Amino acid sequence: MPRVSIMSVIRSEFLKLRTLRSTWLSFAITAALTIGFGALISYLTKMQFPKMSFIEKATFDPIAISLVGTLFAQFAVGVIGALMITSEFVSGSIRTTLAAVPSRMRVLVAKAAVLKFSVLIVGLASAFAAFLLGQLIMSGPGIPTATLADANTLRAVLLAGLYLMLLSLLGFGLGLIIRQTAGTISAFVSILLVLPLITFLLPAAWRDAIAKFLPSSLGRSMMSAPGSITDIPLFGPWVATGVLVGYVVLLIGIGAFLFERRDV
Amino acid sequence: MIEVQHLTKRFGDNLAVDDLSCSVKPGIVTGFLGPNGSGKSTTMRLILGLNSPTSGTATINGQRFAELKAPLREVGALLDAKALHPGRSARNQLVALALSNQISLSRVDEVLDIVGLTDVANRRAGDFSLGMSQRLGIASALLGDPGTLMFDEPINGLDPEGIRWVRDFFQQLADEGRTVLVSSHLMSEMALTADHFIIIGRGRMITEGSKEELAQSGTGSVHVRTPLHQAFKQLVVEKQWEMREEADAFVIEGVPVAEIGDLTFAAGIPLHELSAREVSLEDAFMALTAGSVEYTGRRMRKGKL
Repeated sequence: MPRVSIMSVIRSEFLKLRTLRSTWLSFAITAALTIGFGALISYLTKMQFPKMSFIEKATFDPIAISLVGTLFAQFAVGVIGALMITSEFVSGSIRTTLAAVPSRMRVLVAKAAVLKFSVLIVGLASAFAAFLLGQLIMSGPGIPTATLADANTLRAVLLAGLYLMLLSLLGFGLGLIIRQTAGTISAFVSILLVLPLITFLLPAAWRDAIAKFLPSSLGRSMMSAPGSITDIPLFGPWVATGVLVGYVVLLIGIGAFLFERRDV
Repeated sequence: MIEVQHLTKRFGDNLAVDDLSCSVKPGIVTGFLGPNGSGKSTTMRLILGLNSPTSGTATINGQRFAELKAPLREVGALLDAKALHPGRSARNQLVALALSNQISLSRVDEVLDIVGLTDVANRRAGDFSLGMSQRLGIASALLGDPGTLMFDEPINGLDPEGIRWVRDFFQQLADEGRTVLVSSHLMSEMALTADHFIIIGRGRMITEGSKEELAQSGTGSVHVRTPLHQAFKQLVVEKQWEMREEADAFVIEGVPVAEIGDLTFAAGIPLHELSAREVSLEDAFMALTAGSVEYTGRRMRKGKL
């Protein structure tokens, strides 16, 4: 007799995701923010370039500039991740889901897998498009641009896509814990926007010790050319990726622990 | 077959289900009755493993729900008709469930047809009326063609045609040998829908039985009118009947009408009325649950709110 398997639950969750208009809208916004802001900032930078100081020119990072849109798109993918689970809690459909698949871990793994896969595809495609478009816009006499032939550049673009995926999982983990859409999105935005503000009010020594751990700083590390000069000390790209993966594992771990035990 | 043994669920200070034991048998429609907040929905959630019991067990065909390999093929449940994502179409709600349990997609169209939603299958479920949502919920319960079915307040929001359909349909499911548990807080509804009743209040079992057993548990009354008040009252005292006076009649509780007729005849008391008042199931239910109603409205006085 056919039975519930992890693949059958993944198929079910994938259907759920793609049969909602909000999914397509959120993914369209993700791509638009990544590519649109990348193009806009690339253009503004090009206009600004001749007037830049020597130091500004020395620290000029065409990769980071073309990928800056991901710092806007991160909110869109955070919402996608959060809604993936909070919409079920808010509507009560989580009961229907669990009455069909009693193993909560199976539901959780399937949801996370579908989310990961979808956001990674959209994130990578958007990051590559933003990068190529940005370099195209910036290219001109005297302005350095990057190409994907360079291993570090390719790494930055790939990690931009991965960054979006990890942030959607961060939203998912918060959603598992908080179980309400508004609360989850508030928490997500607080972590990305309010925490940096607080950090930058601290004495310089504290700030330099703490700021590199912020998710937004980790994103900068992942998407910048190595060795670029920055206002605050940052981790290298791979260490940054590792730290961000650590956050995701921790949050989803706590979320899974609660999901397994709580009544629905 | 659903078996519940010493099931207890505590939410903080509130004992939602209190040492409940009962079994729901196949082949008949079992009505699960109780006032609002009496623990019916919590019991169903406990059976489905959605809530974990403080103590006690609930099994379906001898297995805990979490142990079932393809749950929708064993148990179908309608818990809350409105608990679905409003943006997804009715059909896709069912397809998602079918995929998870590897149920063929042709079965989706079959159940849509059974509940009469084929024409609106591609509409957003959020636009459905409560009655249509109930039908969709019934369709999801039927999806895996399960031997055990649970419906929580399925009649709410249905139109009269829908209510009649659902009654016949539940009966048909039971006749096919399935276990059918239907909850409601309306005895008048359940009297026509179910064969067997489990009545709970404040999370505790109040009584269990067939329609006949239940009607007997509430005492019937006999109305007597006679011109010879004193003689009749004397007889009542002599026989130690429980009597109250009502307008121009005497009301006697718990004594068969034949016995009263025979004895008044023997005593030479002429009667102008001797009538037995049947206890409706609803009266029995009200009497049984009177002590366990969580929210009581006050009776309205004329002209005053």
